[in-house]
Amino acid sequence: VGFSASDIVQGYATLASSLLERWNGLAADASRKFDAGEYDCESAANDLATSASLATEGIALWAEEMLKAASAFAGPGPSIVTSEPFRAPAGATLELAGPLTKGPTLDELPVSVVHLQPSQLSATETEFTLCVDAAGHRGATYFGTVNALTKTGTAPVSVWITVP
Amino acid sequence: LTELDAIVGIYGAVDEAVQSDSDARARVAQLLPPYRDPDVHWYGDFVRWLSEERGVVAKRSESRFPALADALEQLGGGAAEGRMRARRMFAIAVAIRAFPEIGEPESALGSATVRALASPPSVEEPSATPAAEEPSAPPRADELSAPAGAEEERSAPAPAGVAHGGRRLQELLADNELLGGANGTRVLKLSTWWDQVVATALSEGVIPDGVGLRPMPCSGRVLTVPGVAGPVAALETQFQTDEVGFDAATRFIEPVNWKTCMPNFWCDMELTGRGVLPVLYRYHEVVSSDCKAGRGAPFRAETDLLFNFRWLPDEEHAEVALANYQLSDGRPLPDDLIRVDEGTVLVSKVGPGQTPLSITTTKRIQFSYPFSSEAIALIMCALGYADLAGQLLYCAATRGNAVGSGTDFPGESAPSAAGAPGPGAVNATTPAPGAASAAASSQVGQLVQDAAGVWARFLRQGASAIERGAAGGPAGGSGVAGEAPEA
Repeated sequence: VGFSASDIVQGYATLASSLLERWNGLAADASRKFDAGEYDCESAANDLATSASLATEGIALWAEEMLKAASAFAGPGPSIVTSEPFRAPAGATLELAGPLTKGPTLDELPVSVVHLQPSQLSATETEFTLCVDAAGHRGATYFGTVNALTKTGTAPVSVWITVP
Repeated sequence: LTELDAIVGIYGAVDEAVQSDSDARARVAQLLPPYRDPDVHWYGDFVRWLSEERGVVAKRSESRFPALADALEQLGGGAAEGRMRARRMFAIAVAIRAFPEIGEPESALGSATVRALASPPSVEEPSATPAAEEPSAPPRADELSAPAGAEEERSAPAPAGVAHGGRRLQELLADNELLGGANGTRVLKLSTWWDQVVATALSEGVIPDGVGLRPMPCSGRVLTVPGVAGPVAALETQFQTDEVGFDAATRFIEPVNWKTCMPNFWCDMELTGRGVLPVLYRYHEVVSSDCKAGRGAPFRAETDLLFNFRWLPDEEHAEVALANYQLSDGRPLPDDLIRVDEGTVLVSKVGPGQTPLSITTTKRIQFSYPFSSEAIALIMCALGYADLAGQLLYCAATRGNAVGSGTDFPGESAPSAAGAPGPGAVNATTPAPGAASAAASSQVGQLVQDAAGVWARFLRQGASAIERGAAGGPAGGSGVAGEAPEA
């Protein structure tokens, strides 16, 4: 089966239009949340996943660029920060042992602003990240402990996150 | 005036030039992205601010930093050493975009630039005459990018080695093809461009070694963050290296080493006491563009910083060495130029061994003048204030294995994890997209604009490819759409 050049161009335009509309929809929704001060770690995680999904429907080169944009977007407000991945036993339930601190008597990130993503690892998952709303906190690397609870016991995991 | 004053003067001349020349601004923005904003400027305000702080009402023309020609002549008076080599090269690369004649060896500015970029005779061509006296013939155009040309360069005699080295480096820094195409569409990431410039210069023998040249100067990401007392500029630099091991790198984190590693900016970093707890350290910091000039330096500031140091998860199982700092109690004083100064230096293992390493530095800074975040980023670039990562790497690479070099990292073990280290960080070399520390500064509107721009470019180039394909010609155009300018 052969395709004419016009078929290819038409398909290309349709694909482009669809992806662009959906990307703009995502961005507009995020923009609304951002302006309303509603953007948080959950929004960031969801939008990153959606961006990745959209990008996989495009082409690899565009996907790379979209993911780069989404990376900046995923912390969309200046205050949302995501850590590097940490490792814990598969299937563990994760709990912060306490606030993250930049040092004794110095600034802390209370448990309420630190989100574990995910907080429950599946049977095949061994990685998690921290997401923090660091608005009003100092620029520093905060550190602390996450307890990984499994049927066999509790394993403390040393964690840290850099707030620029 | 010092080499650093000259570099600030060069960046200042660039800043003034791009205010009235949008084409020059676009070219400069290829290397300094804050200039993508047509309103970004800093030098005039910077000069006025420093003058007013001295109680002098100065005009822009009364800058105490040298003008462009004087700055280049000054740099030509001596070869750069250490990390300053990289800073000098990058400043000239930026200046070439603003003042194309700097890239022309026969022009007055160009010949000064050749001398400024030349390596010392002792490391390149012992019998060579000084650059200004015996310039060599320029290499052929096909030598500029072809690997075969590099081979010829190595095997050919270099009767005017010093001049040739400077001239060749000048060409490499001016080469828009290396940067990603003469048509203005940048294909490469800036860090990749810089690595290629360095690698080519090394392979052709026009620089003696690559020590201190990475990471690319002024490569930090600028953010505007909601600080404790309102919005503040933050710069973040992160890179990986296998040039030094973890143990060696940690010996240069303690701030007293900063003065050793970059004596032309950190005039003093003295331990003056401890905080309310013994794990807190207070240092007095004096930074200046001319340490010997004292209070007569064009730029000089001082403050007190409170540090704490940590091994993570603990010293015995250390994966991370961390230093956090912030202004000490009692600062800022009413007349202090520095109102906010806080951040982190984090050296972490990427795998189980001593190398590779990931080095992350962040710095929030606010001066007593309301510069924009972009302006602060450019000031920090000119001064090298946020180049801690580059300094640390240079120091560790050159001195890390010498007995007595550096200082023991005064880290404590994190109490919550001590004695029971967990599995720890993955230290993935290829973290999931978006998972890298990602405080976002991008305004949403800017993001949408960027995305639309990328998409439009992709559409144009894709359509062009289809047209060419349909016409039976080569289906070019790919490979560009996905490569966008760095944030």
